[in-house]
Amino acid sequence: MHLSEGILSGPVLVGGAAFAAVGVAAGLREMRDEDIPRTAVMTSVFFVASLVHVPIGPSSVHLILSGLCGILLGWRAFPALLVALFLQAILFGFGGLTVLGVNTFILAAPAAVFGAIARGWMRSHPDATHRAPLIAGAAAALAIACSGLLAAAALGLSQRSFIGAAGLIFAAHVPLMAVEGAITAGIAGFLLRVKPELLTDGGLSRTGPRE
Amino acid sequence: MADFRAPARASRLGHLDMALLSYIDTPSPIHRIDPRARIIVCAALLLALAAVSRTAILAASWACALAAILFCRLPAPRLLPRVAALNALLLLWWLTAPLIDPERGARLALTATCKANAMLLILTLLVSTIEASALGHALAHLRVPRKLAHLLLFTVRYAEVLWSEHQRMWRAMRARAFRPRMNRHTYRAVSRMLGMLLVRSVDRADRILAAMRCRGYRGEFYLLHHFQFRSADAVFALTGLALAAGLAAWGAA
Repeated sequence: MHLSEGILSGPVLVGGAAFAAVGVAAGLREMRDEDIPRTAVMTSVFFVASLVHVPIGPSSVHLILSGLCGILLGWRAFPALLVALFLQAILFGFGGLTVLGVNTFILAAPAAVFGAIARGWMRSHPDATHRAPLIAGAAAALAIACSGLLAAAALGLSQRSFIGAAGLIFAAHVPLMAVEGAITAGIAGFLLRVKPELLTDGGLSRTGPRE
Repeated sequence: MADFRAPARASRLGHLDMALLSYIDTPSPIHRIDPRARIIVCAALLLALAAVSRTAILAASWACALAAILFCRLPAPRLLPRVAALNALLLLWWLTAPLIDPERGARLALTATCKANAMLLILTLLVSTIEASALGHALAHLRVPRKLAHLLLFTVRYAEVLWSEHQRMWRAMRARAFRPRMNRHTYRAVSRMLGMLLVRSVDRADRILAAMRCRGYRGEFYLLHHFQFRSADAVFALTGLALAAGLAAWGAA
């Protein structure tokens, strides 16, 4: 998932950083001071989820939960994922500093887009609680698919000879899509029963939507 | 025996407490340098290296970074997993690049391997050795947007709390004979566990915010760490920046 340092070309690094900066700026503007603790909670959930392995077939994958981030945070997924990826880079050595912008964009842009779509649907269909988990799961799976495509595109644009590896990396995202979709749908179903205001109101902000 | 694959993998990746302490509990020369100087030098070196395309220079940088890490005696057992993870990814390139581009593929892969390893070691040496909360403060002093620095400080704190909460819930599940397998039951149990973790943590965050408001929090954090920029730090920063400028000028030519 994380593209590591030293493999992307300069233009891709700069472009990714610029797009990510726009998203982070938008997210920071939307994030009021009293939203910071709850946003940090989602960042930490993302961080912990990346250490949780779910068995699939003979092996296991670790969760990403970027889709859930997007559903609960909207644009604030950008600063949240930026901080989480920064911490992963320095604590675990996944990713790195110069690719931080690209990695943030790869994860956060699809998450914010599909998250907004899923949340819009949930708000306009407040009674269809039985279908809401399905929508959340689909949004998460699509977010992962798009992230995989973006990652492969970043590699392919940097180096033609990296196209083979890019294909393999995208292929590795297919089982992850299924797992993420299933787990996010499960979490959404759980939240709808236990704390529905997280999904139906303004996500993880205290006092309703601000979009 | 029971299959406890998931927690075993998680702990092998680095228990969070251990990860937070990984490189800060062994004092070394690098730990005495001002964190702000280390962050700036690290950013400059990484940006310069990203622009370098000459394999020989990259290999030399890799060797120098390794020498510096050995000199500072960073704990090797904690260093190896991250190096291994990086090179597993690079192996993909080694395997596929020569097939697609028979002439230059292997050479490009070699360049990328040197570059990626050098950058990882530099980041580890200069920034991973900063304690996480000091890092947040150093970034705030370096004029990173205030909200972003606060988000980092909160996250560092919550990640630890959430991880121990997760471990506690996981232990409780295992005590009830939960075995992760690829089935509906596992997926439902794991998603409920994460949902519960989220709900509990949101409630905790609200309590913390309420407590902070009681104590007069109005979105302004007081920065407690103030760093002293000494002459040794200035020497370090200037040397590092000169090195980065040299790399950029020499490597791009």
